[in-house]
Formats: sequence, structure tokens, C-alpha cells
Amino acid sequence: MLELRNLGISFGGLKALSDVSLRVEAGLISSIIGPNGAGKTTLFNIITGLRRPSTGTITYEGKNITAMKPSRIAGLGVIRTFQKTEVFPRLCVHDCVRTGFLCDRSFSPWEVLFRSREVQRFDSHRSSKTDAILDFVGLRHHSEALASQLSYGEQRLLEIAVGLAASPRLMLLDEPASGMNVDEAERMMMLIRRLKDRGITVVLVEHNMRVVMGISDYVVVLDCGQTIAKGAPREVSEDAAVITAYLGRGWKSAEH
Amino acid sequence: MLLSRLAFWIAATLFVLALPFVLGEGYHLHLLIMATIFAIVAAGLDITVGYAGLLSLGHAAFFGIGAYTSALLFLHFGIPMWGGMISGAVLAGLAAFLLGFLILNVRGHRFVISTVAFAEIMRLVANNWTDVTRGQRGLPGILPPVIDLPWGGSINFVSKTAFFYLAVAIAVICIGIMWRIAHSPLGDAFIALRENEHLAESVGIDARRHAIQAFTIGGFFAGIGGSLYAHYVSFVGPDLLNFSYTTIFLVMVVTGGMGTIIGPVVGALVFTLLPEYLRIAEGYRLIIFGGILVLVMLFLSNGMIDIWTRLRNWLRRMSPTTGAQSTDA
Repeated sequence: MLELRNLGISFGGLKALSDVSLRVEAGLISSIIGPNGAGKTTLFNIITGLRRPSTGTITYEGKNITAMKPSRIAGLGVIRTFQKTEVFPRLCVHDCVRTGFLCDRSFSPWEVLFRSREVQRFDSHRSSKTDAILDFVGLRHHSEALASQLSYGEQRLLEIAVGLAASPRLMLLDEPASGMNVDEAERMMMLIRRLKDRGITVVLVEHNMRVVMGISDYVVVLDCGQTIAKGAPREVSEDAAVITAYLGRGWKSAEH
Repeated sequence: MLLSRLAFWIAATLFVLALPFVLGEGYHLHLLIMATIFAIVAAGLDITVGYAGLLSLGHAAFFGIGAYTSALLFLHFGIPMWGGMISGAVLAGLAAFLLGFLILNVRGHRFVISTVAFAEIMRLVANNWTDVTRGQRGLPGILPPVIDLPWGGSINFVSKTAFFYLAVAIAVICIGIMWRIAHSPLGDAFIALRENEHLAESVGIDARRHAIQAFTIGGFFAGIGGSLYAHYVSFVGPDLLNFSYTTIFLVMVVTGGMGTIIGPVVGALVFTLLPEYLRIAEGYRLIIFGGILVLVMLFLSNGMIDIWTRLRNWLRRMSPTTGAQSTDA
């Protein structure tokens, strides 16, 4: 579904990513893990068009999307969330999600002025679909609340809800469970599984190993801008290089 | 509900129709006409600043482009206000589009500074291109339109009463259009841009394209306002492009209530009438005016329209039974 070939980027003299190649298979949950500064978020920024890679190409469903505008990439169905959660702070939860439906939609001035049937249908469609999405992520009871009034964990859910409104086929989630307690992280895991059940391909950047090992079908380990291992969660977690670079010896016992 | 709304509109219409008869052809009616013209400009600026969150500090330029276009078309080609207004609006909109196209790839400080620079350039053009604009001497003699009636006779809008009705009619249409835009998917996209450009872009809302659209719409309606102004005042000079006009438009938008369309219309009324009626305070006029501005910003940070919102919420809390039914008026 998504294929990165020989991606590289440097900031000044620092090589943030070098020669990263990986494939994301449709319908699976893939995770990218690695220590801070390994280039995980940079990778997301490059895929979604926020940064231009210095080398390499990104192919999404056969299309070369390297250095396309972020909004165009989103329009193709690649939707991301941010490490530092992003919502529309002064809009209510319902309106935030309603806004997500605007993805890749545009209406001519005449359609807007005369409120064409197309516009009317679109507006009623997104209002009703918004409720369904809020039910799906479990924020329906907060419909009227301002996004900024939600708790941190709820804002993460809202961010995913806004993304869902944009009808994604590939979702890139940047540390969705960070800062969450065990219960919340558990619920986030369930939600990500249900995204998969909806047919959405998920790529996850996450530090919470319980989440990563619990739901991933495929894990990629980055260190210092390079892939040092990839494979099924179990294989990766027993890889010597990964243990030295990131997990540390005895990480499994430390988790519990 | 529908009936009471209908009653409201009928009452409002009658009130507006009666105003010239109550106020007479004098100074008060003149102020109302100016306020009506400024209301169109302020509502347009609200789309740019209030909805899309683009701080345009050069709005006077588009007002001026509308005014000069109308003036020149009338004086050189005898084209009446109708043609001048459409040309002025299109030209002002086009100028905004081109400027936006050039500078709106990056929003923020650079955009703000560029709008100031653009307005200043336009002012200098109006001031120094004397062959066309006559510079400081300005362009006098721009007449209001005349409509020939099919059954003989004609309406000459040189009378203040007639021009007032005309200005109100045009303002109602313009503000209606802007209200539609604001409450359409397009308006929602503008709001998304204002609230979080980053997020908007990553859920597939093209920030640059929508910014250009919002800026163009603001310019277009400023052009209509400028053209109306030219034909009403009958004189156009480079002072119209002064930064002070931009400032007063922004004051109307901000103190009226950003992102509400109606707020800036209220702002236009208050801040056209207030400075004039404060003349009774003579030397203290500007001090009082400034004081009122500060108070409004202190206590009504969402603008004067907030008085209405608060009053409605308060009334609803007073009568919980009706409040539960009417969620939206």
C-alpha cells in the first residue's frame, strides 16, 4: 500500500534519516519504534508532505506522492495524527469532526451561494456521519464541549475522530498512547484494532511497548535514522541489535 | 417560531423604511448611509480576518480600488454606478486574488507586512499618478445613479432618502451572500484554517487555496463599499487609502465580534455614529472614544454581539421550560 524507497533527509549536517526503505502492507497494523531522535516523527512528516526528503521516493497505491502538498496527500486517504495532539481548540467536538469531512471537497461559489442540492446533501451527510464517528471513538456524550475543554486523552480520541471524518485508508498515528494511564492506553489499543477492522491500514509510532507488542502485525525499528530491524513483534523483540539500541535487557520484566 | 421570525423581519423592514422620515434628509441620515456602506466593508473583512484568521492590514486599498474604479469609469465613460460597482468589486477582488496568490503561500507576519506595503503602494499611486487620479486634488463630480421608470418619470438617488434605501438594499444582499458563505462548507474551511492551519492541512483542507479565497472575498466586498462611497460622497481622493481607514474597519470587525458577520455590521453602525455623536463632548471626544474602545475590549472580548448572546443565554436560564425547546433561534 505504501512503499518508502531509500528515503534520506538531513537537517544541516545531521542525517535525520538515511536510506530508509520499508513497505506497509494494506490492512495491517505496523509499528515504528526506536529511541528518541531515531527519526520516527520525521518519517511521518516526510510521508505526509510536511517535509521534503533529500533522497528517495514514497509510493502510495502505485502513485508517487513524494513532495506532494500535505492536503493533497490527505485527499488521497493518508491521514495522520500528531505527537503534540492537534485539535480545533475553540470549536465544539461535533464541529471539529464535521470539519474533517471537508477533506478534498470543494464547491464552486455558485453552489455555495445558492446552496445547491449537492451542498445540502453534503451538509446533512456530514452531520449524521459525525454522530456515528463520535459513537465509534466514544465521545458522543461530549459533542457540545469545546475541544480545548477535553482531557488530554479525550483530545487524542478527538484527533482520531477528525481524521476518520476525512475518510482515511491509511492512518499514521504518532504516539497515540503517550501520557495515558494503563486503562486509557488499553482503550486506545482497542480503538486501533477497531480501525483495522474498519479496513484502515495503520502505522503507529509508539513508545508504549505493551501497546506496540499487543496490536502490531509488523514492527520496524529505527535507530539514528536507519532501520536496524523489521519483522513480526516477537522476532523483533528478541533481536540482539534492537535490545542494545532500544529495548534494553529484561524490558519484558520491567514492563510489569 | 416561524411566525415570530417573520414578525421580526417585517418589523425590522418597517423600521428601516421609516428611518428617513423620522430623521429627515439631514446629517443623521448621512451618517446612517455611511454606516451602511462601511457595514458591507466590515462584513467582508470579517470573512478575511474573523473567519479565515488572516490579519489584513491593507483593506483600505481594496476600498480605494473600488472607489477609484467607479469614479474613473463614471467620469471618463459616463458609466453609471451599477457598472462601476460591479467593475470596482471585480477589480478589487482581482487585486486581492493576485496579491494573495503571490504572498499567501506563507501566512503570518510576512503576509501582514505585505498587506500594509500593498496598501501604501496603492495610496502612493493614487497620490502621484496625477494624469489619471489628479493626485491630492482628487476626482469630484461622481453622481449617484438615476433609474428611469417604465411608466415615465425617474428615481434620482441624489436624494439622501433614496440613496439610503439603495444602500440598505445592496448591503442586505451583500451581507446575505456573506452570511451564506460563512455558513457553508467554505466558511467551515476558513474557520479550520483560522483555528489550526496545521491540522486543517493534514485533513485535506488546502490552506493556501482557502486563504486566497477568503482574502479575495474580503477584497471584493470592500470594492463594492468603495464604489458606493464614491457615488454617494461624489468625491474620491487618495486619503481613502489611508491606513486610518484600515484601522477603523478592523475596529468595527473586532469590537463588533469577529467571525459572526452580524457583529461587524453592528460594529460599523456603532463606530460610524459614535465618533460623530461624541462631538458634543468637544475636546474630550477622542478620549471618550478611546475609553469606550478599551471598555468594550475588556468586558466584551468576543465583541459587542456578545451582549446579545449573553442576554439570550440569561433569558433562557430564567425560563427553563422554553429554553429546553429552542436550542437555536
